[in-house]
Amino acid sequence: MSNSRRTTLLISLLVALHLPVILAGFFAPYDYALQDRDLPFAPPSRLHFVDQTGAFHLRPFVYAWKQSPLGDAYEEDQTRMFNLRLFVTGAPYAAVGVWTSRLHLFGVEAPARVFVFGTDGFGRDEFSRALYGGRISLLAGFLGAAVALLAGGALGIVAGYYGKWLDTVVMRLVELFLALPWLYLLFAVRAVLPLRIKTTDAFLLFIGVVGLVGWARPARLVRGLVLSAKERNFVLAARAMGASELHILRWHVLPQTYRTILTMAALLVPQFILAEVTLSFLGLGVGEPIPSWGNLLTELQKYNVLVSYWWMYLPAVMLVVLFLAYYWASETLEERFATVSS
Amino acid sequence: MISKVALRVFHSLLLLLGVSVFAFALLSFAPGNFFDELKMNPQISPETVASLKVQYGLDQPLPVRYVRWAASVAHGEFGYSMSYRRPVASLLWWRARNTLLLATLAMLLAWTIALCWGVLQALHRGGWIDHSSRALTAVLLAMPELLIGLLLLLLAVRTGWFPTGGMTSINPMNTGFSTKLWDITIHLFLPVVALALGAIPVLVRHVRSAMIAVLESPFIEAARGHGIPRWRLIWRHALPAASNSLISLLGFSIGALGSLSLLTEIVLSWPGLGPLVLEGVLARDIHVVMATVMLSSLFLLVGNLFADLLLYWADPRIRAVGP
Amino acid sequence: MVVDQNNQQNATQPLLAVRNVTLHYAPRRFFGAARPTISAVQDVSLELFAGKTLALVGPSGSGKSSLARCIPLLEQPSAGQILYRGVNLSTLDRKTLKTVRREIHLIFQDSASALNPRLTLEEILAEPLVIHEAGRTAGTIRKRICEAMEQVELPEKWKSRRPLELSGGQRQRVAIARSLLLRARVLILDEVLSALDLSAQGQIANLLLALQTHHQLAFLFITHDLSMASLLADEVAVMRAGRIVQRGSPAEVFTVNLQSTSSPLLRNSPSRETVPATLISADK
Repeated sequence: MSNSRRTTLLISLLVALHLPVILAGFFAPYDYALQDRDLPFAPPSRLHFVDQTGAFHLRPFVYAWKQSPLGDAYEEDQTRMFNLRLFVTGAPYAAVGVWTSRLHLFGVEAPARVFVFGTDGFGRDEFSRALYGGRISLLAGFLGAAVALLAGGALGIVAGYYGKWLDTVVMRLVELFLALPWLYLLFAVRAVLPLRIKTTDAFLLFIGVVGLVGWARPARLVRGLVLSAKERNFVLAARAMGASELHILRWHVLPQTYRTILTMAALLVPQFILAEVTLSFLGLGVGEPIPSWGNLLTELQKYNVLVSYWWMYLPAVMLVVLFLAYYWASETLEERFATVSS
Repeated sequence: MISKVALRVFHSLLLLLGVSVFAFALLSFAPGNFFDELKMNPQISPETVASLKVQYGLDQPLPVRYVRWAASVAHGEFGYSMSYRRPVASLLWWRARNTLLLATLAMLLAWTIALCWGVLQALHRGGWIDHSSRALTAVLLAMPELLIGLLLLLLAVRTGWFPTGGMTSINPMNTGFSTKLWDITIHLFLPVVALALGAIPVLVRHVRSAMIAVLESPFIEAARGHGIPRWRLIWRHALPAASNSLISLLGFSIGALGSLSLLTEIVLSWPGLGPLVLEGVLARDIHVVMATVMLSSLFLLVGNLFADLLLYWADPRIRAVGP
Repeated sequence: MVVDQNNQQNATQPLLAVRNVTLHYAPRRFFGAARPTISAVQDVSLELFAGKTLALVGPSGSGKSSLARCIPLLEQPSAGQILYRGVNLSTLDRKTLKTVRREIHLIFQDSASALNPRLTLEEILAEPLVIHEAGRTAGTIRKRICEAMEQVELPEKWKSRRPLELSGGQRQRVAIARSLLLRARVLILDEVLSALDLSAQGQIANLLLALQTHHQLAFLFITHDLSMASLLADEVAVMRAGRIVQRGSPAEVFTVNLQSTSSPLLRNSPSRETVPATLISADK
């Protein structure tokens, strides 16, 4: 398909994947901490269009789960139908900043609950947790990538443009940081801090560490770009016209770096999302009760969960789909920028 | 040539030194450590904690501690683990051996598959093999190591074909060599596959693009025009030409050997450096964590050094041009 | 302000004077023996007058381009002075130097590399105004750009095109338009016609001559094309290995002294046949 159609498709895909996570409160039917001790590890609710009598309903409905008489599985309680409704009023959540809302995209009438992804060990809706958790992981990835790119980019520009000893110092630092395997370094820094820290602290910490670890490669790339841009004739021409160094930086040198930075961002964001997920999975990142994709997947380390409760894998599936989208985005960007000569 | 090699080695040593200083400084800024946990234990008196501190030499100023630590490292000693109550070195070496074993086997597997698959894709470029392969690699690439490990674990549990963790399941004392070998192999299988699956996508992409670039070059066209049979063409002419860019990739692979398997080891319970460093972090056992960081850095540096040397040796142009 | 803004020039006063300029390159080495310094330019003196063209010819590597870069102080000469309207450029502070720089414009041979490929023509042409005349309204800027494009005979609707969409000759026109917008008084033309085909060469040469007459510009025309030099120049200087080895009118330099140091140049020059017959057979 044509280039621009592909781009539109890609952008819409990315938006479609990110939107539910960003607006988690609206898309999630329930709060992430809402427990139901009567329904641990309930499977996803089944959507029906046809009831027991064989009648067809336009509006889908669900049955509530109840424990089977033997107590070892769930079966549907077919005594009552709960219609799936759109735009329901539910628990309040913070929509934007301090403005709260009670509007949710879908839901069912109380006392039943609709579990798109089933429930976890505490009877909490996995779907809601996955959306809220995605928020944390995505935010960590984006902010981490932003810090790494800003720090790396700034240092790369300084090193490339002002050169000489500044360049040497920065490049030696880059080598040093590239010699440290980043996951181990992440661990090491995490080890330095107390085990139990507030979620916000853990979050900020993660971003700081990832920036500390991740700045080196962007810095080297940007420096290379700046070095080659510096020598170009149009920079000489501008200088000959009397342009100040600041002007040259802004008009001629920096624009050469934008494309590479964007391509790098498409690669770094998933990498850092994964780093946050890994840390949380191992119990070193965001902790209970705040969900993150990492600690949602921690449950899978338990034997019974691993084997019997397939819906607990679903957050990982979300992750994979998201990464595929980013992967596609970075390939598209690379192709696009490679064909436009510079 | 020798001088270049020496320079490179010296450079790596300097980097290693820098890494050690950095790691040490970082870990010394710990606002709390093993002893804080101890202090919270009401059964242990503050005096005991204090004397323990002196015993472990933790009351000395920073540079002194670094020098002492560095000196002991040079002797192969990595300090003392508080939580294991053993010298870290005794913990380290056999774990490192296990990690290396796992990583090396996984790399060999990954490279073998990647080479064959990549060449295949390059030969049938644009065909259905190529497209489906690229889709498959994309999915593999998008799957986190975590998930691959968990899925393989699931496979092990469901089928019962493989053990779910550890390195051995039998008493090593009274079993024959071949039984022991089989036992280890069976335990190795899943982690090796998990690691390889994680590494293959990146490798195969590079192999494919390197092969495509070579296959399109004039000298291959000429060789084909001479009637050289296809397989000979690939193995004797094309692959060696493509090896240039692949060698640096190989170097990176080697360098990553120490750190690649961290997560997989934890998920699949392989007794390597991974679980060790995790326990160290959870127990705030600083020496353990620092030692593993240093060791994996060492692997990385050695790998990169090896890669550079390989490149010097393989590509005559670089030798001619100079540093 | 130290520089004399008065446009009425005494005809005997050079607009730009290069006095005993020398440029050394000393390659940096940390280890090993220090390499001998390379003298790109040695003790060169030139004078440029308003409304007149000085052609600087010589084989490649003779230092012409290095000298060209010294003049607007893109390279710092190791010795000597560049005097613009009698003022030594090295003595000026940054702000004044910036103002002076707009009057001395350097145009490169490789037009594609001299223009930022990411910018549109409009942005490229707006740049001089942005640098020097802050505070202009967008409307004034647009007007000035249109005027400049007209003067170099480029259609106005090409404003939104990018340099790589134009031909070599058209790009040189853009570069010339840029110098007009700067209100440059001195143009250093470094092999500007060499990369163009013959018809484009003629057109650009004519354009330059027209602009020179109209605005009384001083040209330093650097080239290895002797026929062009003889057609355009009022005076010729021959450069070799960093030094000026001969100076005079085109007729003097190109035809008479066949035994002189410029003769290898003549002998090896492929355009020798195009030197006007009148000049060759002139009896001096």
